[in-house]
Amino acid sequence: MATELPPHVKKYLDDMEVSADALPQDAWETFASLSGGEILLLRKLRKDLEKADVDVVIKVH
Amino acid sequence: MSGIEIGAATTPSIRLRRKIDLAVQPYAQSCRTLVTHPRLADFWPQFLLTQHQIIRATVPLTEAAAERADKMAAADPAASGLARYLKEHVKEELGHDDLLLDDLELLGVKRATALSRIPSPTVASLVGAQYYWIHHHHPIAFLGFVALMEGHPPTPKLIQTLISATGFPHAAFQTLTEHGELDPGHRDRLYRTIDALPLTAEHETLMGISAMHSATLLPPTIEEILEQG
Repeated sequence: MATELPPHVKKYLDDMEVSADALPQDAWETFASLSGGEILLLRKLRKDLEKADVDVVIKVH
Repeated sequence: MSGIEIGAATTPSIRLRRKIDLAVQPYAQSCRTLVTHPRLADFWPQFLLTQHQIIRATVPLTEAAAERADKMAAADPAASGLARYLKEHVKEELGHDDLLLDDLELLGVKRATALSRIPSPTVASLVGAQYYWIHHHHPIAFLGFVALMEGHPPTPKLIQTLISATGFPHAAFQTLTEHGELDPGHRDRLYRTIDALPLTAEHETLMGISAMHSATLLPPTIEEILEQG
């Protein structure tokens, strides 16, 4: 089990100017589990980590 | 924050949900833009057409994933449980595309018109990626897509907001209403399945990539509607 963030995650957080030390534990665990491919997808979203109101999400399946 | 051990107190479904929560934020922002747009009523039928183009593929995609999982089951411990889940999921999703066509008809869009529209490259990419992963890698990828799409079901408050803002009849929101009622149960069964399957770290990564890739393609489905005016 990881006890520190992988280099690709550290670089992503640095690029986003997010301090790993400031992350809540669940967020830290989530980032620690992200693969390089998943980080690439987050970069593709080109958005910051600011929370949006998910109550307005509209989609059906 | 070194010294934290990941995975000890979480489950695969929780880890997947957290990834989705991270990746769905831009789509939430796009939905906010649509819902608060002064021309929402003009854009709403097009939005539903796009949603139909996506959900008309749900049952065929699920059947394709179940068939591939069946074929892999003898050599893959996760595949047999996956196939069982997917066969039930087909029953959960049957007829939803028709229901959406009913909603569109109430808005004046004929079924033939809806079915003849060419789906955008964005929609084809969203759905098509799932076929690729199902057929050429592992059908467990599809659970990431399902988790994204079953998550955040429409609330009664949101549906009422849409009715008020568009002026369209409540009957034209039958698909959203039904999903608001059914999706939470479907989502819970999905999470229980994910947590019960003998998943590897690679399976979890694949579900995450599938969900997050899909999340990157949802905002453009709205942006393209707004751009076309």
